[in-house]
Amino acid sequence: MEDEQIVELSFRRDGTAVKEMQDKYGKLCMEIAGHILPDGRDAEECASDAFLRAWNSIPPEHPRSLKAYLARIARNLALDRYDYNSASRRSTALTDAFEELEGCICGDKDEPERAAEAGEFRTFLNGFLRAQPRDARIYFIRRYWYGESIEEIACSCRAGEEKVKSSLFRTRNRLREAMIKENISI
Amino acid sequence: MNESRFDTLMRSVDDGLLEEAETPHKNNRTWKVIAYAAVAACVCIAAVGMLTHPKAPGGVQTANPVKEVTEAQITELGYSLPLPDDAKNAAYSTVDSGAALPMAQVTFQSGGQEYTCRALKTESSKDISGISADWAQTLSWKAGTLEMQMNESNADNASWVGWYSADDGTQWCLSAQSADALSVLNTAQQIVDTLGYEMEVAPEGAKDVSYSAMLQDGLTVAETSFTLDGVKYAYRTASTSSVDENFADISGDSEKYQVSASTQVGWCNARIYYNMDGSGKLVWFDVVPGLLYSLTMSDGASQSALLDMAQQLYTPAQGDAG
Repeated sequence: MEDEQIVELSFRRDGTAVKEMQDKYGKLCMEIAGHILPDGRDAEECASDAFLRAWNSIPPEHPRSLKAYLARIARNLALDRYDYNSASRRSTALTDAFEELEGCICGDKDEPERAAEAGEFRTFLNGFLRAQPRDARIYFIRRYWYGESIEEIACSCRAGEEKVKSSLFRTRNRLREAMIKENISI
Repeated sequence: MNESRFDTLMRSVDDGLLEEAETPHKNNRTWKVIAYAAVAACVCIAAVGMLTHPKAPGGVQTANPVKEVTEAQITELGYSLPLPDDAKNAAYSTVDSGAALPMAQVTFQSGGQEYTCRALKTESSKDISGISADWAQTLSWKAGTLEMQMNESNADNASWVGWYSADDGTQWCLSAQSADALSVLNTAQQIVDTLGYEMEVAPEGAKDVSYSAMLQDGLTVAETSFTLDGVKYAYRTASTSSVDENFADISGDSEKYQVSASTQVGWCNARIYYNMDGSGKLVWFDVVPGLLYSLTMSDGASQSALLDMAQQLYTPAQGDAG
């Protein structure tokens, strides 16, 4: 079923909208949550909650991209759960990715200052990513947004692990250089 | 490693890029077959989840939350949704969003652009746009008694302007499929004027009055510009949490002036700058509500000219009590 039809069902308060969302994006949400949360049960709960959140928010929300909308909800729920569980300090795929990007994240800005620059940074980051080769861009987002491992990216993108690894390395360096050039820090 | 900073970095990625990353292979039948198989497997898992999750709604049809109504019915509900003068093809409806009173909505065309205007009775300012997008610009500020919001997304070609009146307990929102939020703000200004609120401030007889908002040095600055007797003026306000006596200049004017002096606007400390018979600016700070002000004029500037105009425009947020 097309996304717009699913949104339409939700607007009509037809409960099959939730099933359609789960059918279409259940795996995606599970994977996203699973890359952040080491416990499969936590990830499953976040994925389920993502569909209920979507059901409760549409309407009045009318997402232009249902896929990205659900992915964001699942990711945010998983990050919240991760914070809640953080006392255990277990390493996950995404926390490993945090470490890799550390070189790009510097400075000592306080919250209001960073909030003020968030809009500018969004423009910068999306402009930077769009200027990258398609493969490099996809590897980068799959690694640092979806939290996939190098092996998973290599498999899903049908590329060698070394290629993915070196592409990520080069993209990180280019990002760091671009941020220095534009005097951007977060 | 600061994980919230990492999140700040990656939260900024556009929906379009996320979608692209999810589909690394274009037009490849083999991979499509695998993908379909995965989705089919997912259906089973998801179906089990649906059956076992206690909060999941069943496949029960309920009433459509959007109902077409007439303008008169909107008025009966206690809402007012005035339209710009050139509006056409207006269609009114209500949207049941779970609140006691449904949300009122009108879609219309104005200046070749399609708009949706919504109103909702609510106890606090909120986003009722119903639009989920990657907002490149998110501003909120006070304009008179109104709490204003403005969001703009280039990536999703969308923008909306909201205004909340605590006096009426009503939130309005005007949205358009356009990345030009200032154009939406100008249309909203007409609706706000018709509703009887004051968003912009200009003296009687002013021409070319326009209202805008922008982000400047981390502050949301609202500006009313107008022309009076051939002189261009820009009057700005911004809210700040700083109480520094050496307050910020929000005029956006970096010209070096011949004359500068300290003065006062009402009880507020002010700084005045001008060129003899040329342009000039006045900046002042009302520390009690934390509001910065500036007034620039393009010609005929003098201490008295700037102070006289400031006195006409400036209405203390806290009334005359100081």
